[in-house]
Order: sequence, then C-alpha cells, then structure tokens
Amino acid sequence: MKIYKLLLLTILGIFPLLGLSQPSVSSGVLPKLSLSYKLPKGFKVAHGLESRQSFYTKSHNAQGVFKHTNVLTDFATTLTKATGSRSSFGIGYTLRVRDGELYHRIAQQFAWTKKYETFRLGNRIALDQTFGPENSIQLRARYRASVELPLSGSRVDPNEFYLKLSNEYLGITNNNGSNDLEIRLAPLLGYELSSKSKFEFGFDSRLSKLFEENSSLSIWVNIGFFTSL
Amino acid sequence: MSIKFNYFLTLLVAFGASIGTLQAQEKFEREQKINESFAPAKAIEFVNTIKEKSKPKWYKEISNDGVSYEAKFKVDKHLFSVKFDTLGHIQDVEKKVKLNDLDTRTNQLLETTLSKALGSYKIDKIQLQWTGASTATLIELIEKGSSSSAHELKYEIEVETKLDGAFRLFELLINKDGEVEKQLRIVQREPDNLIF
Repeated sequence: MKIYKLLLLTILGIFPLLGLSQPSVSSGVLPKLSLSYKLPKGFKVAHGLESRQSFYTKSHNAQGVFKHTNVLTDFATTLTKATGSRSSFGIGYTLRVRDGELYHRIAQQFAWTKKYETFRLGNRIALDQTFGPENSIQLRARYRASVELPLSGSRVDPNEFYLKLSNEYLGITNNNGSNDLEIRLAPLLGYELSSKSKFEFGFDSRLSKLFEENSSLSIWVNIGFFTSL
Repeated sequence: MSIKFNYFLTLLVAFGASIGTLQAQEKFEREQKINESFAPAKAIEFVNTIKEKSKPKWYKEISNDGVSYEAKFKVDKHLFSVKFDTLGHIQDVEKKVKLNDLDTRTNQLLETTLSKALGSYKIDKIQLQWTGASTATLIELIEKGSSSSAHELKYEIEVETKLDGAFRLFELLINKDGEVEKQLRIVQREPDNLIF
C-alpha cells in the first residue's frame, strides 16, 4: 500500500469533522487493558478492561462544562480461532456498566493482518448486538483499518516506538428506530516493551449522529496496555 | 551394554537433537535503521555502483547469523536487499519475486520440496538469493536479472503451514537442487493491538 493511500484514509476520516458547526462535544480519558493467552489448536482468549472518564462536556449550542464523570466501564472477553497465520474469527461478550445499569453485548468478528515491507496493516470486520435496560437493543456493523508504522527499522522490535493510525466506521441501528453512522480516528504512539507487551498513547476521536443537526464529537486521550502470556 | 551400542545410542541422540534443533529453531532478527554514514565504506561503494536504483535504506541487523548491514532498494520495481558483514564484504543479494516470475521447472521444484518438508502450505514471500559470485556478476544480476558468470542461486521462502492444529510461519532456504539448507520458525508479533 502506498503512503498516499494511508493519507487518503486519514483525510477521509478527518474530513467530516471539518464540516461541523456546533456539535455536542465530550472529552476525557480512555484507559484500556488487554490480556491474551493462547490455547491449543489455534484458539486464543483475550480479556479487555476499558473505562471512559469524561472531564469536559458541551451540549449543542451551549457552554462547555468541566466536570469529571465516570461514563462507563467495559469488561470484555473474546475467543478467537485462527483461520490462517494472520487471520482469525472471533466471538465475544462484553459487560458494560453505565450509570449503574448493565448492558450485555455479544460480538462476532473477522480480523486479518498483512505485513508489508515497512508497515503492518490490520483489518477488522465486526457485528455486535447490545441488550440494555428496558429491552433496548442496538445492532452495529463495523470495519476498522489500523496501520502500524515502525519508527526504527522496517518492523517493530522490543524497546522501539511505532505509530499507529486507526480508522473505523460503524453503522448503528436501535430498536427505537433511530440509526446512526459513527466515524472514529485514532492516531497513537506505541512502544514495544517486549515481544509480549506494548503500550499505546494518543487520541481517539469519534464523530456520531452524522445525519442529525446535533452531531456529537468526542475526543479521548487513549492509553492502552496490551500484554499476552 | 557394549561400547558399540553406547556409541550407536550417542549418535542416535545427537542425530535426534540436531533434527529437533532444526525443526524448532526460531528466526531471530533485530533490525535498526541507520544513516548511510554508519554502514561499512566497502558496502556503500558497492551499492553506489548499481545503476538506476531507488535511494537505498540502510539497516544494521542482528540475527541468528550474527551482526550484518543491509541495504534495501528497488531496481525496475523489484525490491533488493544486499547483506554485508561488518567489514563490508557481501554475504548475499536477495531479490523479492512473485511465484509467477519463476519458470515452470523452478515452480515444480519448489512445490515438490515444500510439500515434502511441510505437507500443505501457502507461500507468503519468495526471494531469490545470490551468493558465490564476483562483485561484477552480482551487479549484473541486480541490473539485468541474470548472468552467465558463475554464481549460486537459492530460494528463501516464507511459508504458512498448519502444525498441531495451529498455523505457523517458516522461512526455508532451498538450493537449486531442491534441498532444504535451512529451516527457521518465524515468531510473529502479537497482533492484539490491531484486532481487539
């Protein structure tokens, strides 16, 4: 893949943000922990803990407010089965705690990576179904492309930095009849602590309610730690 | 236990251990991008003599074979990597090719060898490897793709295969007679940050 294609991908992700006039905005921190371990026959289990802490919110055409809010916490487990040396199919369950209420999400995903001479490209196609309070159901279809560029050499070795750029598109439908399209863009700086662990830091911007006047933009400081046993 | 039997047993254990080592040996390679000025002068001199190439990228590499320097560049859309020792002597020249670029005889040779060594497999990457040639011959091989002068041609191939129910990647070095000279297991970086 040529570098201009990556730039195009980035611009396509950013472009809708530029057209916004007065969106509602929220901002905060998005810490994420991921622990995975391999099982025989190409199976793998990954546990994830993700929290969303908001420090700033601004409603449509209103003044912004600086206030700490624990938005939600996700406990996720995904079981994957390798379908190739660089591809896998997975099913997952996430328990979401939000405003004291529980949400149950089941997910199906197919992911594959490709190693190029100077970078690695990860793709993920996923479907998920979330069951919340008062019989609310949300269905989502999503695709994410992530590019990982080593900053030293043509691949990432332990104790080396890398850049990661993720772009994700989500189609969302709710059982109350509302639909949404969400676009996510996350430029991150990563550090390979060892062959089994990595740390990532950067921004995760999410633009939703694209077809509504009151669009919603959230920008999070993303802090991720990934380790495998 | 007779001396002869002990000798036979020792040989058997040594043979078994060597096979085990060959099958289980992991590819170790650590690469660091460097400025051209840090590469051996003799290596820079060689690369500079190659015509119509892209700007070379230089790397210092530590692998199973020790420390080396590597220059990567493109000639006629083909990616080349030339490996040098720390004094700038050429160790090998590699050219990335596609399976379709190889003639029918070579295709069959590689297919037979890989099937015998791994059973079912999927080729991920093929590189022609040239050694045992003069500097002038190696330049001719890079610039023209062939040479009538003496040189040794081998194939460095990355393949995916299924082992004990799990997919594995291997790097094999196969000579022109179809013999596997080296087999290393490639340990992939965890893709968790790209798929979860």
